[in-house]
Formats: sequence, C-alpha cells, structure tokens
Amino acid sequence: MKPAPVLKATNLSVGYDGEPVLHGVSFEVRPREIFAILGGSGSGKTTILKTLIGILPPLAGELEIAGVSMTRSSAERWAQVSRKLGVLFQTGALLADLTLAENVMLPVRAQTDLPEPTARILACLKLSQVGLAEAESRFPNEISGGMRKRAGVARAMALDPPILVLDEPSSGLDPVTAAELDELVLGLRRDLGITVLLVTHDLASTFAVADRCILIDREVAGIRAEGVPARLRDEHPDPAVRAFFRRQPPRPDGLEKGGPGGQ
Amino acid sequence: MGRFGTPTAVQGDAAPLAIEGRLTAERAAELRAALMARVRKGSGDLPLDLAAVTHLGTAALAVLVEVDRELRPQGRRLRITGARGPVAAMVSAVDWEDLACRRLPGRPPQPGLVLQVGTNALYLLTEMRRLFSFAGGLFLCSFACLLRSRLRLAEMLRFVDRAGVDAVPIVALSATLLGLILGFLGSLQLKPYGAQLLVADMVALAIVRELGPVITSILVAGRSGSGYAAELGAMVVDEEVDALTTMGFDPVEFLAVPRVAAVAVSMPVLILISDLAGVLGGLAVGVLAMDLTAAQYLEETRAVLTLRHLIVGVGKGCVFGTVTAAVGCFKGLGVRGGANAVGRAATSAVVTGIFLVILLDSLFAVVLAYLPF
Repeated sequence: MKPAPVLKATNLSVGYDGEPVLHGVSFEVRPREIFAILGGSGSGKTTILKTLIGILPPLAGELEIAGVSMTRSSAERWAQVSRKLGVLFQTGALLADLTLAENVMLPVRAQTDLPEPTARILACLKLSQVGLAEAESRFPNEISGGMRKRAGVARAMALDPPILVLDEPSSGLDPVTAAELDELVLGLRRDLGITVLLVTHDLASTFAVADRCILIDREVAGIRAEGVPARLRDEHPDPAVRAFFRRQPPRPDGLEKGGPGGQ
Repeated sequence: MGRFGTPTAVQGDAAPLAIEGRLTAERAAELRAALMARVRKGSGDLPLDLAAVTHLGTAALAVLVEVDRELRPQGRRLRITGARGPVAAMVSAVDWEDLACRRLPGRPPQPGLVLQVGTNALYLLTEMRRLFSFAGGLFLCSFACLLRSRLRLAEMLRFVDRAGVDAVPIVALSATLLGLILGFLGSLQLKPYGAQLLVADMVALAIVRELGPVITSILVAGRSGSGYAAELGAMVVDEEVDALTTMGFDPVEFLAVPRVAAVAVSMPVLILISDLAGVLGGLAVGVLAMDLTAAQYLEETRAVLTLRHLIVGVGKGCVFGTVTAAVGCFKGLGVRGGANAVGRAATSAVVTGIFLVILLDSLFAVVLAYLPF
C-alpha cells in the first residue's frame, strides 16, 4: 500500500490579491522523499512556497499537510502544523542581533516550555549536527554564506520537524559549498527520516538530491512537467522541458521558444 | 503515547525509570521534570532504560545531556541502557564527555569599562576626522559642480520636492504651535504689568532669530537627514555605491551633492514659512486671549523686526539644514555591514544632526554677540 502523502496539493491556485500566478497545481510529496519544485526566475516558485508554508493563503484548491486540510484553516491550525515544518529561507534569515546558538533556540523558546539551559544544549547538539560546533557564539555577520545556510538548517530542524522546506538553498554559494549543503540534506534524511521539499532553480543540486520534481512555468501558469529529474531531462516529450534540464536557452527557430526559462 | 513510570517504594530510586513511546519535543518538558525530580532525590548513578523508546527527539536528547551535566558535579552519572536502532544512533552521536564539562555557548564577553571608554573615544575621534574630511570633500565637490555647471538640476529638483515642499505642512504646523505656546506663556507673564503688546515683540524675536531656524532644522534632520542616511546606507549594502564608483562616478558628487544642495535651497523658504506661521500663532493668542487687535499686533511685530534679524535667522537656518543633510549623507555612505547597520546610521544621523544644530546655534549666539550687527 502506498504511504499517505506528507503534503498534498490538489488544484491549488496561488497568487497575490486574487490574481493567480499559478493555478491547477496538483502534486504529492511522500514520506522520506526529497521533492523539488523547479522553475526559472519569475516562474512563481516563491509564491507557491509562501502558500505551502502558510504565509500566503491559497486562492483556490486544496492543501493538505500531514493529513490536515489547510485550505481554509484557522491561524491556530497553521500554528499547529507549522511545528511540523522547518523552513530554511533563501538568505538564511538569521536574526542579526542574536548569536547562532540563540537563533537556534528561537523555535525552542516559541514552541516548548523547556528552560534556557536545555535550549542551549539543544542548540549545541543541532549546530554540531550541521558542522558548526565551533561557531556557536558567533554572530551571523561574522560567518560565511555557507555557514549561515547551515545555521539556518539547524534552526529549521531545532524541534525535529518531519518536513524540511528549503528555499533556494544553493543561491549565493560556491559549487563546493552548495554540494556540501546537498550532502547535509541527504544526511539529515538518512539519519532522521525527514521529508524534504526543495524549491530551487539549481539543476546540479536537483540532480544530486531530488527523488522527484515538478517544473513550474509562468507560460502555462502551472505545472509543465513532473517526474524524476534525470528522466525528464532525457525522455520528456516536450523539447522545452528537456532544454530546461540541459540548461539550454530556448532555440531561435522557435521550436523551444517560450520554454520555462533556460538557465 | 508512552508514559513515564513512577517509582514505587519497592523499586526505590535505584530502579531504572521506565520510559516508553516517542520522546518528541512536546514531551521533553515532562521528561525533564521527571528526571530532575530523581536527580534531586536520589544518590548514586541515575539509570535510564530506553528499551521501550521508539523515537528520541533532539529536545529529549538535550534534556538527557542536561541531566548528565547536573549529575556530574556530584560525582554521579546518567547511565543509559537498552537503546536500540535509531535511538541508539542518536545517543551515540553525542559527545557526552565534551558536553558534560564544557561551558554552554553564551554571548561573547563584554569588554571592560576602560576598554569600552577607550574604544568609543577613539571611534569618536576617527568619526570626527572622517566627518571633517567628508565635509571638505563635499564643499569642494559642490563648488566644482557649480563652476563646471555639472549640477544635475532635474535630480536636485526632485529632492527639493521631497525635502522642501513635502516638509511645508509639518514645519508650518510646528511653528504655529510654537508661536501659540510662546504667546500664551508670554501673556501670562506680561499681562499683570499691562504689557500685553510686548508679547508680539517676544514672539517675533524668539521665532525669527532662534526657534524658527532651530525647529525647522530639527524637523529637516528628522525627515531628510535620517532619510538620506537610510537611503544611501541601503545603496551601500546593495553594492550600488560600489557600482557607481566602478563606472567612474564620484559617489559624493553623484549622490550627496544633489541631496545637500536641495536642502540648502529649500531651507530659506522653509524658515520664512516657519517665521510667518510662528507669528500667526502668536497673533492668534494676542487676538483671542489678550484683547489686542490684529492690526496692533502686526504693527508691533513689524516695528521690532528688522532685516538684520531676518537675515541672521535665515542664514543660521541654512547652515543648520545643510549640516544636517550633509551628516545624513555622511552616515549613509559610511554604512558597513547589513540591514541593522542601516538602522543605526539613520538613528545616528538624526542624533548627530540635532546635536550639531544646537552646538552651532550656541556658537552663533556667542559670535553674533561680539559682531557689530
């Protein structure tokens, strides 16, 4: 029997002020899966991400997280479900006035009754899990971009949420650091059995970690392709999709014109 | 869901605490309470059987480490037994020896008082040196722009609109209220002596010579000085200033000169507006509360005000306004770091700007007292 999906979108419309950016988006993320949402710049990746993490209400359709329907749910329900989501924002979004350990302690303070010493130990454990044991007392502006992303992952994972959402984790990182972050994500899935939702336009990272992906596209205002990344690259009938996965710009003869934004 | 076994009299404190089920973050506080009770009551090592635990979350693991840290100074230990599978992996991934004795991460220690005073004094000195060199550069650059008619007029007019025209309502309102207050206080003091008419003299002189220029400059520091600091600071953070430099622009000429020039041009008009509004405020008190006629009040004002007062007031105000705008640009272009540095620059621009206005005003007071006019 197929396990119940961790996250399920059915005919979801997302956008701002009643104006849909994407519509008819349907997909399922299964437990322990690394699922990528791909798209070129301006394709609506951030918009759908904001909807999936509860910042932006969906315009239409159904959204289910961990078996709970989120479509017209109250703020309380979102707060409850938000414990199941750990989010790494694009720039890390660490609070600049707090040390790395204090940043990791934030969700502990917000969501549990644990006293400060326990929270500090938890921060130590989490930071050493992402390889930042030495940087606990440093401030975000004293460390490199890669370390900031790792600290962001430590904060997102502070309370062991079953779902980790990563927004463009490799943006602004050199290829080696980005690959190290990929390793970290694979390691977290292996050790903790988490489900990972990856929103990105980085193909190298997608091929390295994602089990399945969807490609969203402004032109069709929805999903253009769905499947295993390597197979979409080699076998998908739509030449524009194959071109995207091969990092080829749309061809001038018009054959693949208007493709989903060549990288 | 599992539960925490309660020790019975037979088991005593030496018996392992029976824990079962999933130890998630939600249950960590409960687990901590149960274990800490045993730490306080018992003696010897604290045994803990994790055989029935199917999931050990990081929060629960942190509780176990904390308990171990509590026990060690008493020569006791936490003895974990029975952990299996992923739970055993979680337990063995922890460096218990290291975590038990190390200091927990805290804030980096604050430097001592002497060090702080010294650092701040040095900072103040370098900041002053930089401010003077910036002011000199701005001055020379403005002249060069004027001589070679390189002033970007359209850009400057846009800033005049923002720094000057948009400031008119708040400047007029503030000055009117100030005139009302002065007139009211003056009337209370002068009425018993039958010298109501002198209220007009007092309000006119105070507003035109001192308060008009000062209040206008303070408002400009709050509106434009802080705005320039934040705007230019954000441009520094976004590397826009570096981009201008590499394209061959001088950031001072391109960004600071039009802004400061706009304020310098707007100030005389703003001050005249504040003078007018202040006198009208005083007039309102004179007419409504002191039975003076408007004609009497205005005639008295006209008699006491000379062109000299007006020139001194407007001249001072132009200097103050230009200084606050220049300080705003200086603080903005000096931003190093991220978003919070921009906030600090904006605050610092207002504080420094207002302080310099008051400092310069006192200098003017002394100097003008010894000058023949």
